[in-house]
Amino acid sequence: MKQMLYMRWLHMKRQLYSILFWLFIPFIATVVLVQLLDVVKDDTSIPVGFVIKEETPLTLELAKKLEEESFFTIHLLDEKEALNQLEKHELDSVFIVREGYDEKLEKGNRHKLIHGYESDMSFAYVSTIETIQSLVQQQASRYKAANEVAKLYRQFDIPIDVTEEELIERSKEIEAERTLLHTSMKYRGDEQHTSNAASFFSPTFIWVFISFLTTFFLFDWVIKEKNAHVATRFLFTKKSVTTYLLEHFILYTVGLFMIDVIVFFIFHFLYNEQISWTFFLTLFLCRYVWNSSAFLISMWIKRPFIFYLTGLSITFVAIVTYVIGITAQSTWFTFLHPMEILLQGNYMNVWPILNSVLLIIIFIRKEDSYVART
Amino acid sequence: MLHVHNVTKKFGKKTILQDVSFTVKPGQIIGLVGENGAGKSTLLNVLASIQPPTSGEVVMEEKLYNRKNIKKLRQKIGYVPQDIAIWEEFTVAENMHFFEKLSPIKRDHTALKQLCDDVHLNRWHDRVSTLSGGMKRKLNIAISLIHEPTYLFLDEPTVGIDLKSKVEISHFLKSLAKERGMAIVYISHDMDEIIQLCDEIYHLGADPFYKELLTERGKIVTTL
Amino acid sequence: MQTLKHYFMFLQIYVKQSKRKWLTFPLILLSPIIMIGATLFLSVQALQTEEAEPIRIGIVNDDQSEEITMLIDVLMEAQEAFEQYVHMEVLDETSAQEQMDENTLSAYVVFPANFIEDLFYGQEVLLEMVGNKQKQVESIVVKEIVDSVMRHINTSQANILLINHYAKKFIDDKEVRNEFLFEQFMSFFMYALSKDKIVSTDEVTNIATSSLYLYYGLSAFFIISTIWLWIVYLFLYREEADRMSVRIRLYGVTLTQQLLAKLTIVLGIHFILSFGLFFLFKNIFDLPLDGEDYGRITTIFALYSVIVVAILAMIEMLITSLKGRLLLQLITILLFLISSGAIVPTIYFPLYVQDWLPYIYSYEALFWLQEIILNGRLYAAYAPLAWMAVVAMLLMLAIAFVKGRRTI
Repeated sequence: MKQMLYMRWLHMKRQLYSILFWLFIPFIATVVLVQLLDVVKDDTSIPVGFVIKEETPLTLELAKKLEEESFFTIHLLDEKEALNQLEKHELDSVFIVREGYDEKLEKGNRHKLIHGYESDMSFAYVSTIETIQSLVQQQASRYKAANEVAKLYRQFDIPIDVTEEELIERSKEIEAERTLLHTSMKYRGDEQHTSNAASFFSPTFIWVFISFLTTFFLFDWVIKEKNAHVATRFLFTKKSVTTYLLEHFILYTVGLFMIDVIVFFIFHFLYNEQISWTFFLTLFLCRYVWNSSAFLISMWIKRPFIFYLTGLSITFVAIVTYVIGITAQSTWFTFLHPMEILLQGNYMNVWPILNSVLLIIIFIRKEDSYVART
Repeated sequence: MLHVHNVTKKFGKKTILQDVSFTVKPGQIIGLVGENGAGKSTLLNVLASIQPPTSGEVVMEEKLYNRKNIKKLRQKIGYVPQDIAIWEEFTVAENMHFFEKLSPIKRDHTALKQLCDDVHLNRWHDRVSTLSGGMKRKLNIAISLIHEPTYLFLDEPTVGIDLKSKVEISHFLKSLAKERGMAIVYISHDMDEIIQLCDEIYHLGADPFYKELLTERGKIVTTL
Repeated sequence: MQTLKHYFMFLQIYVKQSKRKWLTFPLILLSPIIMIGATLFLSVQALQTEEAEPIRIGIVNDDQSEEITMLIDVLMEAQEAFEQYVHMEVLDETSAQEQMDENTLSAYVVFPANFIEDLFYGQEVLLEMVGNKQKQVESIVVKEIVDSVMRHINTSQANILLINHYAKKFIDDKEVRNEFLFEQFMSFFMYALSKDKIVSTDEVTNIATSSLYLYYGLSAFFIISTIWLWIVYLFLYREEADRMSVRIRLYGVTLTQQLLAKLTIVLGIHFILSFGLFFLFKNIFDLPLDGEDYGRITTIFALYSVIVVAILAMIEMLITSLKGRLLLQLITILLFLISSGAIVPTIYFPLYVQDWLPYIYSYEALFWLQEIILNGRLYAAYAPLAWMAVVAMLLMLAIAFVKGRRTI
């Protein structure tokens, strides 16, 4: 063990900065990306065209309220221009507030107050409609409440001593003062509540893919050391090259796992990512799969450049298939995709088994070392 | 004793060695000469068990080179490859220590340093990449001796070494043979070195140039 | 003259080199097409299966008062309207958890004990939702639905309080008043649930020449050909080039000449490939393009390619570490693809990002390609792209010049 560490240290100390860089880039990149996505997510806006046929207090209030919703950017346009922009997909959707909006609303008639246009490329039409409807609904139900109060007065034959405007103002005040109902969300199995309904790109998600890629960038030592002329010397030592490489593969796996554990402790404090014994077990399994994959592939490849490119391509394929697989939700996917181990905590995965078998084969085969080498 | 019996080596259809037989005795230094591509390195690789022969056999101390024996036998072999097989980014000391860790025989710091002194390499703390070609060759030899082999196979070990060092290395090899009874097989294109060093000279290949050259200088050359 | 000779000599070397590798080449080039094809195919499939199966939500009722039971009944009735998306079911917490473990339930909502009472007496109430970790996307959708329902309850609540304020004047009996208020509450809640009448909907199809598929087709073409450009560039990378270049430079060949020769070949190969791809694209969508359009498209595309290649070359010259170089090239390509709007349309970007887009070459290039191909524009402004290309080339040459002087 001490000898192994010494030998590894000799190799590492010459390129220490480079190795440290690739060791910590997944952590650094994750922190940066999470921060970036957070900002972008908050500032992403859906451009909505808003056409007001008749400018009235209520229609302007509606436009203002919609603008206040952080997800939308409201463009006040005339109908022709709005539809033109929608056709060119410069707007996600267009909403036209029909004439007589105020009168209808006051009468409690909500039917077809607004006409919406979506295009075949609208991403967010449904959620825009939902928001607009609930805003209109807010306005409408205030009038309904005012009507109910007026009804009460009529019912008991008392002359009304309060105006509709006053009632509506009062309703607004009450809602602002007393929002009683709140919701919270957590996932089954988690102790804590998720602050914002967990985004698809969780820190773990980002980290997993970047660390997958950098594992390849860290494992070029295999190629350098197995290809070196020095490899011949191992024939005359007590260890074969394969044993030597496998030992150091284990060393790397343990070392990288320790760094992973530290990283996830930091993630726990930074982003409230859940950690537990079972989680670390899956983390180890995941680290094992990463390293063994990089190791096995490095045994087949001669040039570092090709090795890096392979790592890059595999990462690319992994990301794309993961995103597809998540939406497709097949049981085969959870079994076949390596990222599922950590991201969903599925132990039953083909890669730990397959890689172990391949590693054993490599280990056994080196015993047949007195065979032709050219 | 190392016996080579009717060793033939083919690469595909091309025959490199045809029915080669000879014996290497302890304390003996054998030189291999011949033109480029004559099969010297291939023969040395077969002796060093890096490549198995296509047919024929190699027997070391009554033990046949085969899968069962080879691991044990290899511990007696020292091999100095033609390509410099050392870690370029390590220092001389680190290289020696690295391979000491892998050696079946433990050697302490002083012993390793002594080995380097023996081959007249005194740049103990310098990085290999800063050394001259000749220096690297010396280290290449020193590393091969860490595990105290009884058989030493050298493939053009002194290419690029200055004349003085060459002589020093020759002396050192000679002392290894005489004092420790090491059997040495040696490939070189330097005829002075061959004449000065070798007890026996074998010639490989079709071109008789080297053979004639050495015979003219009064040496007995056997064609394999 | 000597310079040109050197340039052509290297041109030949690179041609030979690319010939030697031609067998593996088509496979590598197909990879982005296969990837994008598979993505499209599978996401269409995934969307279809999602439509077939509604999201299952459990409702756990710990309150058991008459009012909450009625409220839940209303909810259950209301779900008929969107049955194909959501399916709600009243469950107790244990069976909800069991179903979640079996992965048949996406989420469940717990109405806590004294839910209605607390609400009526003006106490804050927390409605808890538990999501299924294996169905995170659905869980988020459920959370949005719950939030929306809560908004309606809150509005209804505020109006009830308003009515209550006046009802106190008329109805003295607390019991009677409570009953009246609950009726009002239900009426408001149902009023809210039937809000979907407010907006009527029409779909606008995009302009005659442009269809959804054409839009995405053009984006796909842009992405594929950009990735190809990088692949071709990497393909001509030679590990021994560094060692060789010293010897080559001894013959008086400058780094700049080698670089320009390489870039010419990269651009040449890439241009042929992209032309083939574009031809395919044009035939699939049956685009009515005339000679002038081709001229415009070629000019824009060529300018774009020159900039990409110049940036790749700059990264190669500035970063000696092979892995660092690859990573940086990857990040650059990704960033420029994203900012072009080929992956997500730029209209969804934050506004301050949108302000900067015209200064980004990839956005500029895709924008004009879209204008010509999708919107049938008969005009393109080349100046911004051309200037960016000039700047990129000059920067690259400057780096090559400095680097060439330093290393010899």
